[in-house]
Amino acid sequence: MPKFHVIVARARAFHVTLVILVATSLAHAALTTAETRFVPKPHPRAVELSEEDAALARTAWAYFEKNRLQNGLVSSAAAFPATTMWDAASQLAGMTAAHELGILERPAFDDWMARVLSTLAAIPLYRNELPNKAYNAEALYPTGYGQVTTRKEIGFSALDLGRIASWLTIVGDRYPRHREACRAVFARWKLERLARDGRLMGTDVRGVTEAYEQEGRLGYEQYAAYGLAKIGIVAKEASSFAHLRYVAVEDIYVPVDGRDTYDSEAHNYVTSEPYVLDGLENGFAALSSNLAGRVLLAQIRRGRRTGVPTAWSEDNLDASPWFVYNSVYVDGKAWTTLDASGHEAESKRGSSLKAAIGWHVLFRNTDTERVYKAMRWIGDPKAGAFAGFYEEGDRPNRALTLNTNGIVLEALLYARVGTPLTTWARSPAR
Amino acid sequence: MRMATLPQSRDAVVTVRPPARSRGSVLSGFRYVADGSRDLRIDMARGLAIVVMVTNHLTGSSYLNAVTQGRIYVSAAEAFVFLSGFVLGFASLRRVEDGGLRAASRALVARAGTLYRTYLVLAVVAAVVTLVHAGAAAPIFRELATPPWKAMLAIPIFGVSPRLLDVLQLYVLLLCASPVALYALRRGWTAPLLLASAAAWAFHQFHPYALSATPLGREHPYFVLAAWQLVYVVGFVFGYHRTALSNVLRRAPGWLLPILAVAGVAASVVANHLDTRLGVWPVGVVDRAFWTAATDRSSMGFARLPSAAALFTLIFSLFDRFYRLFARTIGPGLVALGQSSLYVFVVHIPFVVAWHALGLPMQSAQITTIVQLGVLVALLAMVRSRFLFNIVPR
Repeated sequence: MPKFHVIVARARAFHVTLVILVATSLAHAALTTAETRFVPKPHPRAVELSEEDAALARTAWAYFEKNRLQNGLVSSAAAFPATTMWDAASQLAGMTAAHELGILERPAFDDWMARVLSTLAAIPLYRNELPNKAYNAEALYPTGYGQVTTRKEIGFSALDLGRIASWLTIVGDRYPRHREACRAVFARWKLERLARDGRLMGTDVRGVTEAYEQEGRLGYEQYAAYGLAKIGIVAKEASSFAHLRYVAVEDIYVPVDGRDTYDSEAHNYVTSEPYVLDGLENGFAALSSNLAGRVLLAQIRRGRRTGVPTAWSEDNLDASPWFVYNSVYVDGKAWTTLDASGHEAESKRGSSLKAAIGWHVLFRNTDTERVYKAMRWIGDPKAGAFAGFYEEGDRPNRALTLNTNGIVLEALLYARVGTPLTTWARSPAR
Repeated sequence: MRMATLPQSRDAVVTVRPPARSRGSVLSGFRYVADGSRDLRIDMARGLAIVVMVTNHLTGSSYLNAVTQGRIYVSAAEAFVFLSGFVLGFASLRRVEDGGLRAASRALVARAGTLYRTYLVLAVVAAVVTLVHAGAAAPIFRELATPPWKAMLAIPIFGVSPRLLDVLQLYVLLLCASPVALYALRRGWTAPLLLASAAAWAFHQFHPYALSATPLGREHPYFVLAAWQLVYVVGFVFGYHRTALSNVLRRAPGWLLPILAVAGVAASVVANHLDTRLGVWPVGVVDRAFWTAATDRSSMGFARLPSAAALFTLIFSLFDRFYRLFARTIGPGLVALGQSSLYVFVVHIPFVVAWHALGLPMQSAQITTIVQLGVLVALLAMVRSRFLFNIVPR
């Protein structure tokens, strides 16, 4: 028979054990509720890159080295010498990040950057007005999308130009030695038709007829308007939230564009990319962190509900139809994947690495980390980071693109500096 | 692979000598026989861990790194942290019995102070070197936060976690918390202590940002406090209850633990090989995501725990059963390094900095291996000659 004081000691130990169990369970329940109930807030922090992150940066940079062309441009997809102004912006982002992360030494960076900027300053413009939507990146003539062998002017895109305007500003601010070359890129652009009545405008050549139309829906529209403002384009309506509506997805009200798709043929994709890029570059100055948090929270809830990591975005594919918009919401439906021509492509739904890493470095929470780490390894160290993975078949989407690898590097730079990149760039490098 | 070092007592360096051969089978003649109060098998294990640490910090393609890096879901860091806890648990019990809980706690805090001062000196020197010439102390600081006073302020309050020195921060925090663990053990709260530690670890697995107040929180690339404390606490408890534990193990069949250990190590090695080298398992992205989390080093994923337990058991069993063989070969060297692990940790840092500053590693695996062996021999010679023993803590 144990002595009395031993019995008392055991009873106390039992009580302490019980308290620990109850306290841990309560804390777990409370945090789980908090993580899925409230709109997450961004947590910008400068962190040391882990070995895995550094390896990812090197993998992403391998894409640049492998697909670099003589004129300094990088092909927008592996072994496919095309580019757009959106992709060229991702190239500037990737090069800047690689240099700042110590992957690309200064002399090589300066040489390469000077070459890219002089190439961009010399490309033939659509009707001598603005950059065409797509180019043969090697021969530097305008083409249609995916048609690098045929010379063709197909119009200009305000959204693409907004992104590159933003990056030309960042590069010019950060590296005064390249400032003039950055200005020279857009010095010959005729900006008048980029905005009308406060809206962003683009053109689309159909046959011989040019359609001049409002461009952009909630997300992309505000992000592009913010970038174009840096080169003097004022588009008040595009910068506003006049068409903002909310719809419930996964029991959270996510922002959508109220304009009807069928009138304009422009789909109101709600996807990660514009929110992620706005966060990384502008600190959610164009869109708001609350709107971004709602788009993220819907994906977090889906991820928890289905058990499938969810970071949906527009992305290239390694198989037909080659490009899809994985949308949190589009055309009245949640969780829909459309190809570039607007047809459903449900078998190609999946998550994107660029969205996963972007969300994570911006918000840094349990779920963003889980999704990012789930996808961080998807790539080939000699060829680049892959686009993401397909939910059907649970297999990697091995598409290798400039946009994915550029944004991956951009996100890692953001992680390293912990500040929106437009703000960070205002402290010029020596 | 990142390594750690071990805070150890100020005991004098004990030289190893083969104990007298005992009667029994041929194998039992190689067995370890206690000779004095110090367990030389533990020193040997620490010595092995520090050899692995040094070679891994001297990065590059070498035969040593090929054997010791990325073969199993365990690093020498887990061994150091566990052994630190074990030795301190055991030593604290003796101190409590000799001088009471307060004296034992004071010793733990004093050791934390020694490690803190060591960390501070090394970090400040590295920071100053970086300020003078950016990148010169690259293995520790790639660059400093600007303005420099911010970096200097961050160092003493653990606002930054410099590479190589981060493990000292972990030890300082663990040692500062050790009196609480000791108090709990004195009260007979072994189960609650282990449960609290496991709860913090499990909580971190589900909510990695919730316990992120310190720089050793979630953002730490290697040693997340909430996760790594489990290894230390288990070691501390085992050390404290060493006698009882030995009695329990003695009752188990002698072959059981080694067999389990071999099976565990084999499973971990095969899984690691399929996972990292061939990439054939797990195949699916979601499954691979799960396995990546399970083997994550910074948050001590759950699959690492049995891997570490199996590997430590296997190594300890080998040192125990074949002690005399080791004692006649590499044993004395390992013991010497293991008994001065903090000293070796400190003095290996200039070697690592020089290694990077000189643009090493070399292209040739043979040359890299030879240089790594040269560094290990130099470190051993420094220990043997007690070089700067009066300045560098041990």
